[in-house]
Amino acid sequence: MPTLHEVQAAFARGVLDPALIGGIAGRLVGDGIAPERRLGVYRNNVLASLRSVLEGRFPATRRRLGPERFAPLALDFIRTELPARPQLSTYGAGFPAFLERSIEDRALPCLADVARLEWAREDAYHAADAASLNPRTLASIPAERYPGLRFELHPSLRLIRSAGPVHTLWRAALDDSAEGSDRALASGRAEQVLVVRPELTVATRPIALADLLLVEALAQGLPLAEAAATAQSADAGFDLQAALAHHLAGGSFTGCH
Amino acid sequence: MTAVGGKRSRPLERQAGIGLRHPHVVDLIERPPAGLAWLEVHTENYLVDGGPRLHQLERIRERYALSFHGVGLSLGSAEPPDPAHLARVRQLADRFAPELLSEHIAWSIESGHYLNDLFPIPYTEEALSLVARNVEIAQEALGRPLMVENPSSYLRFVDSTMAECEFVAEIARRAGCGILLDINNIHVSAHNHGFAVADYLETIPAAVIGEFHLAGHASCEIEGSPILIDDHASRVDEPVWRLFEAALARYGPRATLIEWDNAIPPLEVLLEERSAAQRRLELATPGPARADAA
Repeated sequence: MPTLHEVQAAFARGVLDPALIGGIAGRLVGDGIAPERRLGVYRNNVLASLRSVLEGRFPATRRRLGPERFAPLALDFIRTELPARPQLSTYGAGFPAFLERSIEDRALPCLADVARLEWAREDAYHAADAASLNPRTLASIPAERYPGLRFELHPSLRLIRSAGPVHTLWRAALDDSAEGSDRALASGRAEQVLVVRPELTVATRPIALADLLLVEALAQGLPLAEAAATAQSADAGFDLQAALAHHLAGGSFTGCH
Repeated sequence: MTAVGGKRSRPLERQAGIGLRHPHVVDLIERPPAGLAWLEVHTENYLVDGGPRLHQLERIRERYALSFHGVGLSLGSAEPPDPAHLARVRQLADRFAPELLSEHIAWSIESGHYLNDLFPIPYTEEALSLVARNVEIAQEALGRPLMVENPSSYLRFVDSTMAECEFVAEIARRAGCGILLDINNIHVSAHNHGFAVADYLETIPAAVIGEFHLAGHASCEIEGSPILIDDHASRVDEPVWRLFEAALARYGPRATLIEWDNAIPPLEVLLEERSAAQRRLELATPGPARADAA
């Protein structure tokens, strides 16, 4: 008689892949229904439930692909990357990279980037809570200290860079607007997106490349003057004051020192 | 294990509760229905760092007693439960102090992969000792008594040497844990595997039972054979109500949950089902539970 460990290893293989059922079928009672069909009930539970997790998490990606194309891709992903822990809120992080590897479709540019944006929103939704930096705290700091200030970013803050119009494509897919997608693609512009959840609602806004560089530099712990210089290297006309005001209002920071 | 020996407290023993489902959260916070004392959540849904889910659970906690029903410990695995996962569950339980805490006699993790379903176990001596060990590890790590739920299943193993109900009763005896008796699961498994429901109630002692689950199931046909699927997507079926009444007569009242996880209906429908369970709980006589527990 095989050990419980052996039975479970063979069961798991047979559940995921009908071709591997031979390792477990002999341990199962038929009783009017073939063991393969009995195992099939579990296979359906596993695959359908995980697929529905991915559908809920990547709605814009699914709209762009179409449900008939999304479903088999989701199943391929599930078979290559099962959840690593029993917390489905963490499942799907690898899906954008999987799409990048699996889909080469000129008609669907930025597909993986839109999926990355959707994942960032999911991730931000469940990120740790933190109170945002009060603009008055910053205002109370003497101006001469500003160049050396370092900022702590909100734990939910995520940045997305794309070679294409990722934000517009995401928005257009959710609005089911083919025109919106076409216009965005025709523009050929690159977009960057900031995702943050300062309180209970996830905010998603496009930001300039210089602004993204500023936030990335601050995230690395660089002082404000150096971070601003990085931003200005991409855009000499970068308005630091306006960008900071926007970040303060949007809750990007939790503190500064 | 002596964590839950002898005298057991029976929180909410004359209260029927419902599973907390996303579409109902705001209503339950803002307009608490009369008589609804407790809600059950799937523990793993709240293992997140922060955000709206935990915020809502805090608000729910202000108004209701809570049951944490886990689906991720995989106590039926040959491998022991993941200490990191146990630590996360403990942290959540310490924060929210649920009145009831339960898991399943089933497995879902193999070689570090989580398969998001509850798979059956061969009922052997080897499995018995491994699962009892896993439950002991879990109770120790969680620092509170745990109930484990009898499974519903669609297949059996040729290697089983004992009846499901004997296996379940023996887990409780060896590990010193409670049993969450899922009435619908008994009905589904008895139908699918041709055992007598009466054996179940006779075999599981009253002293270990801390909660009942009630749910709907679906019927389908595979190769001409009818099979019941435990899909939690409809009202409690009539034979399951009858079996619930038999369980109340045998065991006395216990905290009872209406589980409805798929094709989630309006809150009113769930509350109607809850009332049907509540009426039966109020009519139940205490049963032999306390004498058994002595």
